[in-house]
Amino acid sequence: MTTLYDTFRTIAQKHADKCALFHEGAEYTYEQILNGADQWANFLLKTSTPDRPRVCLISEDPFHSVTISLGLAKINGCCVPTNAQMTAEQLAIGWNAADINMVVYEPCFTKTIKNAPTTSAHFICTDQLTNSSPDIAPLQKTWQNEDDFLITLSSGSTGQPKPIIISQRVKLNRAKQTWNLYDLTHKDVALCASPFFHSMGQRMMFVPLLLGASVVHLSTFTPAKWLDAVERYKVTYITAVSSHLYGLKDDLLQNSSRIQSLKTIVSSSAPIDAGFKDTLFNAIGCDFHEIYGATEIAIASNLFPKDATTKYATVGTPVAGVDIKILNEENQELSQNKIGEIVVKTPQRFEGYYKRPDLNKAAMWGDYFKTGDLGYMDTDGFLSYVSRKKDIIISGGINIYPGDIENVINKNKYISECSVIGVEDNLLGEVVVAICVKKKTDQDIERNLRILANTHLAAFQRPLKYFFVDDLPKTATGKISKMELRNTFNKLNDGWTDIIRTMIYGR
Amino acid sequence: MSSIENIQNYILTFVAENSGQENTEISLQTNFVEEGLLDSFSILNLIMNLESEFNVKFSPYELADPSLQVVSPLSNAVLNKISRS
Repeated sequence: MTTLYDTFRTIAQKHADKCALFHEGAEYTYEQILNGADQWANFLLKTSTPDRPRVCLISEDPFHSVTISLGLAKINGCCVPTNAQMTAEQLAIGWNAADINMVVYEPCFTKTIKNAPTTSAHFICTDQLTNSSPDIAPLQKTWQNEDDFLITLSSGSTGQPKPIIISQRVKLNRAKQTWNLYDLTHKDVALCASPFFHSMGQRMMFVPLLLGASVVHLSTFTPAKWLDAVERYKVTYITAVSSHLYGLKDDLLQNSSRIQSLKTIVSSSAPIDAGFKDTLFNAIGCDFHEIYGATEIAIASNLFPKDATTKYATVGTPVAGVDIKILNEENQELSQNKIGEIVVKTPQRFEGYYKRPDLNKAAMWGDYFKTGDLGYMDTDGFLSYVSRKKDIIISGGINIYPGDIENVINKNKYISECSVIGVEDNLLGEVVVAICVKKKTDQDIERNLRILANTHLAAFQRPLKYFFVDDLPKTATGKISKMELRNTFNKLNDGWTDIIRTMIYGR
Repeated sequence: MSSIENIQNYILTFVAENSGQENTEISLQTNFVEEGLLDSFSILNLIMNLESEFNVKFSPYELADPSLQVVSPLSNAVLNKISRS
């Protein structure tokens, strides 16, 4: 069985002449993608024999990403989409973590590849296939194992990636989950502005292409490109990381007439503040959903538009087939409205972390995946996300949730983005610091923010320091990198809380 | 230009709003540290707010002076800093 490939072939044959993929002016039909996948299947099969191909894919062109991954699905190989911006050392760690025996890369990454440490893997430039004669003959053989079809290398906090294994069956089921949640059909046009090495980029390619819909791909995200693409291709469905939606904030509101084709916007990857969600919902008028999930479990909960008015501060209810519980530090189930770790039982669960029994053991509570996120369920069964467990700030022994503070700061109309972190402190353990990006203004923002914090936050929650920067550091997938912020701002604390010591203790 | 009354009112209001104690008489002679009206987070906040609101800067060394735990002397210290700047 090659579940994912077989499904795609059926769809591709049915919609052969339809444009499946739009990318930077190029257009690819379903037939072209199917032929591309078949060519790659044969090429990789011949090249990898006798070993089962375990391919590190370094590609920014979605045609390559899709055809190579589907080609690997056809021969039951393993695909490991990888971030081309990683250092040579990081690449080597990833190859080792996923037992890579082949690296397929685009010509523009030749320098990166040449700098990478020596390995016994085969190196294949995508040009090698493009320049060879097409070979789509029936396969002579395939492998039987489809359980580790896709490995996503999630960046771990220790620098060691977590190799998240997804089978072909689960990848297809995840696509079906999305079709059902948002009533998608082959008539829909999706927009993908996330890289393929991230699970969001994979989802936004496979969800439309396994359905017979079309997908518009943006290599880089800018508000102008995004708006142009939606208008030009009449995009109907988007799942976007919340940082993209924040980036689009004003543009979406000012250009609502250009994006009327949109039927469904789904916000993912980080909680979006309630005020912004409400404004966006009213301005565009399309269905606006917010989801909660992780690469390991796909979508766990969804906030439907019908609940947006009353439950806007939540991430919705568990989706069909999913059960969510909240645990305390001792792995005991907590009652409603109590904050603890979110654990999720779902048929869309990943197969495990590749060759990491230590991580697999730590990640599970029975059949439930421990997300590492903190949240709570209300009495109506709606889930609220509070923060990453590791992002919690403990100041003077008190647990402080950065999201509560960020929501208040975001109320200020001159703030375009902010992130609240805990900075190491000798006296209090950590202190609350807000790093803000402000819009162009001469206003004394810090004074206004302190007034806002005094009004809406308890004293222990109020940021000790406010810093204003041009941009917040982002991960490759568009999330704010709190780790990088902590590294930067930890260095600046030269005794900020000495005031307490001298004022209270006189020394 | 901030007057001494502005500064005093600012501190009195801050202490009242952050003391967590209703019906507490707060005057210019109130020692908000000794009387336990402000916890360490609120004290830190008060100084940060004064610095931001009146554009002044205190060093930890200056704040070791116990008289600055009292509303009136602290107000005077803020005004002196404004006058000198």
